[in-house]
Amino acid sequence: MDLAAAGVDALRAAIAPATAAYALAALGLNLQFGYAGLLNLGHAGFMAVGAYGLATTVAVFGGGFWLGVAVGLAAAAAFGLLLGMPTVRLRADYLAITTIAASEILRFVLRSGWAQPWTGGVYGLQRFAEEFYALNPFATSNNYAIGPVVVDARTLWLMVVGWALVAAAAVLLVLLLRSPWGRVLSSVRQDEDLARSLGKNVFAYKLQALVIGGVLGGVAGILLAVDQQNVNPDNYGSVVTFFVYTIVILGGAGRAMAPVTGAVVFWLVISATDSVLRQAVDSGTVSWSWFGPQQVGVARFVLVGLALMLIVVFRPQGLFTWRRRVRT
Amino acid sequence: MTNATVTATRAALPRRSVVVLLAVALGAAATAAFASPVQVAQATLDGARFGLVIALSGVGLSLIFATTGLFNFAHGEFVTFGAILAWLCNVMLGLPLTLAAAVAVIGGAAAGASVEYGIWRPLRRHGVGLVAAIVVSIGLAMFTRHLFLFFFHGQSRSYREYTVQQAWHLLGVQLLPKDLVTMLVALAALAALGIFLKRSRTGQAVRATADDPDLSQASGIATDRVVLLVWSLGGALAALGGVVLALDDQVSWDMGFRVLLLVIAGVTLGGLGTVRGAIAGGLIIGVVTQLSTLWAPSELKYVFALIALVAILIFRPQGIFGRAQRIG
Amino acid sequence: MSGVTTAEPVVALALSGVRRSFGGVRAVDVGQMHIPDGKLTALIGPNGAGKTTLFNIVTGFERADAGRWSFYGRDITGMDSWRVARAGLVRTFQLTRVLAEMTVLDNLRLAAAGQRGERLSLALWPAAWRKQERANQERAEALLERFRLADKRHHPAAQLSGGQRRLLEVARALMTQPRMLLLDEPLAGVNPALREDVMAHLVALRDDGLTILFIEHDMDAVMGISDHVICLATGTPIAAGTPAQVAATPAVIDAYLGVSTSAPSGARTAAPSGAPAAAASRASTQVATRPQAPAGGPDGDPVLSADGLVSGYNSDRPILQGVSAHVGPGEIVAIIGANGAGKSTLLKAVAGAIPATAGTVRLGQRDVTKLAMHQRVALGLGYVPQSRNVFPSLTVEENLRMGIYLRPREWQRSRDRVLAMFPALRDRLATPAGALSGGQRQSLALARALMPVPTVLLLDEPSAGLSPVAQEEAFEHVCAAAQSGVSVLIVEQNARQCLAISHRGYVLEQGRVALTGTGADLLADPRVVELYLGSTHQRPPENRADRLAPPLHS
Repeated sequence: MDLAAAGVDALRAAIAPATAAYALAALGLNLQFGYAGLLNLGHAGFMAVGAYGLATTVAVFGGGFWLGVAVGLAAAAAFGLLLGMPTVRLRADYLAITTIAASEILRFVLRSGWAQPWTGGVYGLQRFAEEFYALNPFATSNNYAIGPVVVDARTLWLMVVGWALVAAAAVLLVLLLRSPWGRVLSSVRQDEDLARSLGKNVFAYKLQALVIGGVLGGVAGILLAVDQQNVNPDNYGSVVTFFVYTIVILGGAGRAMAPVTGAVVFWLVISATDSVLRQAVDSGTVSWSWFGPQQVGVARFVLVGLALMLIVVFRPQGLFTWRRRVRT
Repeated sequence: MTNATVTATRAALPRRSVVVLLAVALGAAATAAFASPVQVAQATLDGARFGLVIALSGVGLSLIFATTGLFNFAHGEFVTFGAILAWLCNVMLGLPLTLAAAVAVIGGAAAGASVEYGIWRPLRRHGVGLVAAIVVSIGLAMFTRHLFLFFFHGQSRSYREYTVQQAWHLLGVQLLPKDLVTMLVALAALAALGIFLKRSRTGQAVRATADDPDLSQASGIATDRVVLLVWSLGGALAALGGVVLALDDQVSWDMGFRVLLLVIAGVTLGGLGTVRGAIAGGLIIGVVTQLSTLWAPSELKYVFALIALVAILIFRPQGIFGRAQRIG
Repeated sequence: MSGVTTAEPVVALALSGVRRSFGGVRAVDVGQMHIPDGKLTALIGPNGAGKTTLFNIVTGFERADAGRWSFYGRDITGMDSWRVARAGLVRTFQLTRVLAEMTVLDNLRLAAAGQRGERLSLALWPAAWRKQERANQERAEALLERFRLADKRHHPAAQLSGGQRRLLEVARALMTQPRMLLLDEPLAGVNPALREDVMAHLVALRDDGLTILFIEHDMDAVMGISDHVICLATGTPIAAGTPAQVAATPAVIDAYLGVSTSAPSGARTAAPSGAPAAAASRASTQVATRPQAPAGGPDGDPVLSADGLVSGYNSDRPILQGVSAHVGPGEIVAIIGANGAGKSTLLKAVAGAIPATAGTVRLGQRDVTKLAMHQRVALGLGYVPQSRNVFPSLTVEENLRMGIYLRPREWQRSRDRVLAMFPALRDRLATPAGALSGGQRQSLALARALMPVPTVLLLDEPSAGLSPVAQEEAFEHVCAAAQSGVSVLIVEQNARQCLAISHRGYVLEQGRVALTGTGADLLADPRVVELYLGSTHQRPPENRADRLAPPLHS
């Protein structure tokens, strides 16, 4: 077994554009869930809206790439408003069900034959990111090495943009959360009635948190779409939301930078486990009849499910925070 | 619970059943404008069958919510578990399906009891909050579901018996014998549960615990044991639901997850905590879903059910037969 | 504010026709109420009188069934709670609420009103709000100095003691620069040393021109510092005026201690001369009489005993501070005391609804301290909580069935026996308990508990929220139960009626037993009245100015 190769794969996954996308989605969800206390189970819907906003504008209507991005972001904001206005006042479990239902409704509609002219139905849409890659400053024929990891020029360009976005989003969020606005949001999560008794419009703050977090989810969706050069409705199922939750909780819900750490570690571990298991099966090190090549891909989901349960129960402040959250 | 609300509820109940029936009848009549009466009747019959299966699968979720306040997002996995267990007995061990179904029901009860004993009771003892518990249930769902995928693999399989049948024809409407059996089994199980809750001493203790756990303790009821019973019943009924669902839809690793949202829609629409509500809500969801195929593309049929769910949660979260106090 | 007298006093808060009911019980029914501007007004009244509900309604946290209310002439009926706060009417909560995860300083900075930085559009533009933030910080620091919390400024608020949290709440309310403050029991849970400070602060705030309306049970505070007192009973104001006037009003004394069951006793010697005639007429109503003292006498082994009980809802802030009490066979024992004394907590600890941090509970000879409630019930304990004491969605008959849950075979016999005691329930066996009136619910609650013939029955305020006739009935049922052999431990706000039927009683104060004796002795003891209403003569206003830190320059 080549553990070194597995290690390199893991590192590759840790810095990949997709990981940056998940970090963005997690930053958004962290604002909604960790800071505002909204149990949004429909985050995949925001990602889908952003991605399709871009893809449909470019691939179906022939618009420019940047127009597509703008449409994607606006659509994510609109989805947030539409979803949030009737639901942010709901109790946690009802909000959870409503958001996951909304996200699934969206997915059904996106993949339906009826919507096919605009969304490509089950086949999805391709070829909407050419304009973006045309801006690539790195020579496309070369490969680049980041430590032991070798990537091609397009991936490098996307990584630079992606992680720059992550950094920008993280900085903006930190500034926002340290402002008086952030202080009110924190009070809303801790004790709504108290916040109201001090004259704060609780509804408005929750809605704002939902929309901002949703727009970040939209950016994540756009980034993923550009990376895969493909949007497909089944890529935005509820499993994606649960992955993002695991990332947020892994890093520590309510800590500003934690979602980034969480995303990196999450994909590092998943990728490493995948590699090791795959090699173990291929090389014959593991030769149980019930553990074949197909099972390797499943292992990640089993692990994520288990991790989600264990972390929430045993270390709710996340794996990477040292300051214990004061319990009310 | 205010006096006025209860009086209003009692007086409204017969009225409500009438309104529900009227609404469904109107819907069917309206649909008849797009299709022939025979098609409407067929769709209604199919919808009723599906609706009863949903009710059977979801009544456990409803009772668990009423007695413990937990919304169990892992409930779909009981459904899958029952179907898979029955398949193992039927196809691998060669047992007749009826016997396999019985084994599945017992297995479901055991699964429910184990989950309550091993996971939820310790979490309750440690004062784990509602939101954290929901996230744990999501992790548990992902974990078990992918274990099913791991061992059962991805393709759908059927039971050995009752796969192909001759349909009966009644006035142009088709009915497969297994569908009739499904409906009868579901109705019988739900009726038995309703009678148990209303007439038996233990059933009344369940309702008492759902009303007020502290007062139940003050009456000498060991509420922990009641909760254990509720989880066992919930698991058993969901497992049975899985078996009858697979009769029509085949056994697959994610069959429970795929119907979970619809099951939630059914029990929420009807009113959490009541058997009558589960039946009514399930039937409405089933019939609405099937009727919609007459005028909308069939790939969107679940969307209407989900829209109904979102609407109910926003405007009347206690559902049709639920009590206002339980909510929010 | 100098001594300029205006032709007509300014009204800060005016209520008209405000009504609110819960489950058939009128919680609030205020025809007219005016809170004067620039004064310290106290809102007093027994438990369940509707004081907090009134606060909630006026500040938008609860809806009213009817009525209008206005704030300095501006109609604020139905206004959202956060808008009411912004209008300058700020309230605190009965149970202290601090943002535990934030520092003390942040708790205060949050409260400042009109912060530009709180708007999303400006939050990322520090230049727009930095100056304001600094000004708020200065004000916050000054308030911390004033309330002597300055050294805790960077500590998480969770680390403050109960009394300090109360001060933080007042400071936080002041940060909003309110026009009027509604304080809900500002002295609750505050130790005696700090109480004087808090009272002095309230007086100083009034002197600075702030209008304050506060709910309090601490009668020394009420009588000592308030300019105006309003007494609320069963949701309606029954007296208003200066502290001395209100304290001397017989209706107020009755509201707290219950209607007298005998001719004027020593407990009411301070009442003005007009009272005896009124009292005599009241005494002529039908009353329950104390059942015969049990045959075994007080020497029989107690059926229930509690020794040195320390308990509460929060293990580091116990409410009971070592209470010992016992109930003999066939006895009716009363637990009375002012609000917050720990009466309900005592019952809950004895029943097992809350754990005991120290001390023991015995049923007969058996130590049940470690047992869960349902296990104690199996051993002969009966418990009727104060509210939520019936199963609302179960029918009356099913409620009774739950009472005899542990011994289903005795169902028929017990059912007949209990229905003979409560004939009114016979016609309603199929009605869901939630549809019953207040009095019927109370009867059902008692009936349920009497089904298995408990050895000892714990009753938490069985007369609460009931009409006088229903109250009489309730006490009659208690006597009947005792006569059939059930020992009773009864907590009551209605001290007089309760003591009239009890063999013995304990008076709790601040989590300890302050007085004990036979029912008759306690009924005649003037110290009981004092414990409820404070001393009936007004204390000369003390000059408390020297206790304060230098005044705040706003």
